Amino acid sequence: MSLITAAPTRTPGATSHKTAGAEGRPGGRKRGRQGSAAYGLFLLPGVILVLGLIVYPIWSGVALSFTQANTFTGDGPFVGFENYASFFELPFWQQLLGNSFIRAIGGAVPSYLLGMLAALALQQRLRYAGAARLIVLLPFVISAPVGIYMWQAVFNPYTGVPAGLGLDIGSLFTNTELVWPTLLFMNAWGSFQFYTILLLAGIQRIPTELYEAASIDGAGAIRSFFTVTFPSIRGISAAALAMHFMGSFQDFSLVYIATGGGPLNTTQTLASYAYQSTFSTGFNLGLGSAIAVLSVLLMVVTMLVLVGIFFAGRALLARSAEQRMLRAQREFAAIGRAPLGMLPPRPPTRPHSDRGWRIARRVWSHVSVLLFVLFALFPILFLLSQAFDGAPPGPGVLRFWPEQFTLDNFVSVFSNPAFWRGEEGASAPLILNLANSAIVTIGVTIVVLALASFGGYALSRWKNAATRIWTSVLVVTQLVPAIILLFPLYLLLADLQLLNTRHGLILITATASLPVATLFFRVYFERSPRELEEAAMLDGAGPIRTFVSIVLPNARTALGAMGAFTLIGTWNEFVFALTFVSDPNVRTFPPQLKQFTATSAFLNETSPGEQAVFLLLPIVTSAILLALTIRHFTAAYEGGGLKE
Amino acid sequence: MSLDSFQFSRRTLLRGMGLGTAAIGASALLAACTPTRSGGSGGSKDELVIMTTAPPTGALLKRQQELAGDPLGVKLRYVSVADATYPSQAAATQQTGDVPDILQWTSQGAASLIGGGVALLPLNDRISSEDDDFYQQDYDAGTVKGDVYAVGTGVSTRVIAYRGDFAADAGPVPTQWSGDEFLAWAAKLKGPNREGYGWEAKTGDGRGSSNFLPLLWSTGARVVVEDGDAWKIGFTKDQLAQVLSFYSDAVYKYSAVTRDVGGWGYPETDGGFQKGNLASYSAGTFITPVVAEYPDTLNNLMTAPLPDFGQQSSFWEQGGLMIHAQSERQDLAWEYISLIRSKELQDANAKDPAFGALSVRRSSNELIEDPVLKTFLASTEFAQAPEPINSHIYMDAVMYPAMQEVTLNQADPKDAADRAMTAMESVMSQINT
Repeated sequence: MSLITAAPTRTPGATSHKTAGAEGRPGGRKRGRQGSAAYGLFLLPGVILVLGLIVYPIWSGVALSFTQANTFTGDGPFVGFENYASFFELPFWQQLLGNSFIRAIGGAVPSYLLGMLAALALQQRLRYAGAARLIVLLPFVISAPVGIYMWQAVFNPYTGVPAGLGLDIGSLFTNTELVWPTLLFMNAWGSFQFYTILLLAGIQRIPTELYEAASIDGAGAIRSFFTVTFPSIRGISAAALAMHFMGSFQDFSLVYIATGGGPLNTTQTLASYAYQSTFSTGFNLGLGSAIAVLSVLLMVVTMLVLVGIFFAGRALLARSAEQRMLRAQREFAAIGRAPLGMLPPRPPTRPHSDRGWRIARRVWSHVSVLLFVLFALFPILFLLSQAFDGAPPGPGVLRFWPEQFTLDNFVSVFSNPAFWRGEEGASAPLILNLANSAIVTIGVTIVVLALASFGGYALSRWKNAATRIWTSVLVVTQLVPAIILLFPLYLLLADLQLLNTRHGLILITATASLPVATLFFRVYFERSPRELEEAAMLDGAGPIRTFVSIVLPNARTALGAMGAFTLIGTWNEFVFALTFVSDPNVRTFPPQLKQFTATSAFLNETSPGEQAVFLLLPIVTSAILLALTIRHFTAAYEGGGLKE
Repeated sequence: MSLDSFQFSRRTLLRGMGLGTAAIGASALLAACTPTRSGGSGGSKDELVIMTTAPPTGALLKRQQELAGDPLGVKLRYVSVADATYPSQAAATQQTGDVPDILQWTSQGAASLIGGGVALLPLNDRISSEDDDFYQQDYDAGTVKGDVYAVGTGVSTRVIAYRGDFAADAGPVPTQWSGDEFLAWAAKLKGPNREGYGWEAKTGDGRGSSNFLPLLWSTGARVVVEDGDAWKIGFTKDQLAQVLSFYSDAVYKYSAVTRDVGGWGYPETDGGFQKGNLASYSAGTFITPVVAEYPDTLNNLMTAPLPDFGQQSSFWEQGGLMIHAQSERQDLAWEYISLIRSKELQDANAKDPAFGALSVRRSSNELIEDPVLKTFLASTEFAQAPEPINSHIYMDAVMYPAMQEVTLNQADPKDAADRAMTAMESVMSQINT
């Protein structure tokens, strides 16, 4: 850290890493200036992209909220706070607010509880734990439209599980009392893994001595959980819940795809209503932008309140622990006056040698893992069954097992000319869309890794007011819902002639991933040892050479982690690819598949078995990507926890 | 257990990665070699660029290229966008100056496009040279404030599609029937795990207006009527209440369908009818492809007229072609449209069961042999083109909520109509903006 001396720093960590090298040698100050310039250069590309393609569109979105802009032209006269007033004149605005909180809290809390249980189940030493983890994580990387489609089929009152069980409960999606639990259940299926990954990492870092000590004190499994496990992962739980809360508050795809906000606005949230106001009902860009801005403000206030509650709770707990400690000390002092043999008897410990208990525990280990595996696979099994079924379509319910086993559906799909050649002039072959996905995914991953690693490194080594502000900007961009960006970005890309191009899509998708990736690398490099860098600098290496020759080769794990995270995220990216590319030859696979599955050719002229094969395609590709990158992928969610 | 414990053998992993890399590399090469065009949909001199939501496929695409593209020496190039964002994307292409030559959407969509500032070419002069083989509704559907902006390529109307086997004991189907007569009949079509009659009522569904509007029109109403330069509401509270009573009665008086119908969209109606879980619903000419993969339904497919409230009605649904006013190939675009609407091509479409729609030419429709498609012909005489305003606005904000109230919440139809009238008043300012 010797070369940051030219920049004022107040962080103790940075100061402690100062060496005499730069300042103590002739030319040290010059070298410091060179270092600042180099770090500035590291940050510059990312700054330009984030300012241009995220901050500017956010600013445009806020500005649009004060205009009567319509979605077609993107502009309109200034109307002050009229759009905000219009929102509060809606007869159901309170319902929108309430629903947004239901979506946010109901999206985060059940997922957290499931994720915790799954982490506890999957941390056990079982021979098949690796495969089980892969299966349990799979729903997490399946794109939302496919997941929702599967669950809608499972819950279909005529052909799904209710009909199979002989239940007449009607549609869960039109039942005003059951629709939210249904949506949140579907959401939990695809998101609890977020917590599982994080909590698994947290649990594995808890020293075993703590459990041994608890055991000696007579704690059973449940008491150990509450006295050792949970306190150790409380911090990571709070951070993860906060992140998920924000994401769920902003999300509109679940509601938009599954219910359209119905029945009777029962599931309409701020995000879904903002999208509808902008793109389907009224094309009122001004109102949509105003709702998005309100949504951001509301979330910021809520987060501040939650953070306040968290810290107040922590202080309260600390005080209570202190009081307990004092009480214990007083009791211990009293006991200390008694002979050792007079100590109060410990509660009896559980007889671990008991064979029945051990067998029961072992069986439960397997059962708990298998339950999560089945839960993750449940809707996919129906799809698989359909894909391998040759029975003629007609009345009947979903089955776990094909009625007439066949591979014909696969042969039919893969021999379909539309898959390999497309229709000249009208639609691209799906294989080309897959290829586009591969190009965009690789392109985005390369850009993100290059710019974020340089940027994150600069932020971790160059401490000053500007970099602190920039770090805050990167964090704040995460609070903004994508809806507010879409239209300004569309116009911006149109002006730059980047619509309908792969490089335009790569640029925008990479930029959207940059803030998180940069923050990730900043945290990673903050924690990484600096001795080698300092040695290299003492040997005369500049920041660029040090970074390229020393730092990057030692950050393979972090690069792999963020690479895998970006790879899977980009492979499933849907909204940008759908909105910014209309040429089928340039479009990536997820939006093309979504478009294809909405066509009459798919809905009506494709047999259910072939439909299942088409839907399995993205699932299988996601599964392959996950299998190849699972170690890095999970490391990325742990915040680069794996070190060299 | 560490997260590292999940592992393939190193060799397997390397092989997998090698194969994956090779596949990705090959795909990348393939895609990189594919010629693409930068900057939107504007095409080269030998191309006509058509912006659509659903490009034609198979034989139809081939026919259009051979009979309409090749004679002009142009390749047809389709760019597809999602239906929900069609108007905004059309407007955006205009801002980039890279416009499509032809916009292919529903004819009544012309009003939305013009309202959104998309420059469409008036076709009045050009259609004056057309022969009189075309339906009047063909022009009505694409007319905005007296100017024709869209003309059709194919037409669908609405009838009741039903399963003949389920209706065997329900009594005869008349040539015209009231809402009550129809619902009493539909209730008899119910069976185990099967509803008698259904429709689309889910907010955002693009199909529901085709079901709802003929019922409203059959009361003698229109959604809007011209009022000088603006539009005003074209129906009364009583007329709307009459239609809402029909939906309410279907659920609560005749029990022809579950209350869940209030949340149904086209996947539920099409999907239910395909599989035999729904015995009847209001369908267009798309019904044949809908049931094509379901032999039981296909073999028992029958049609009946829509119910009405005194005045027989149906929905004129037309795929339209519009010329962008900033296209540099306007004359070529019109020549293409003329060839698409030519007797030769329309006859070929009419003879092709896969076309799945009626022709815009009366004479071509006489060539239709498909027995189901033929039953749609009768309704062309009284089918109406929808009003030239964006139906999404009033359906999503007014009509769907009202339909949901009376079915899901068992609201009184008159009260629901009252609330809907208030909502419609506020929507009118949006429609007139």
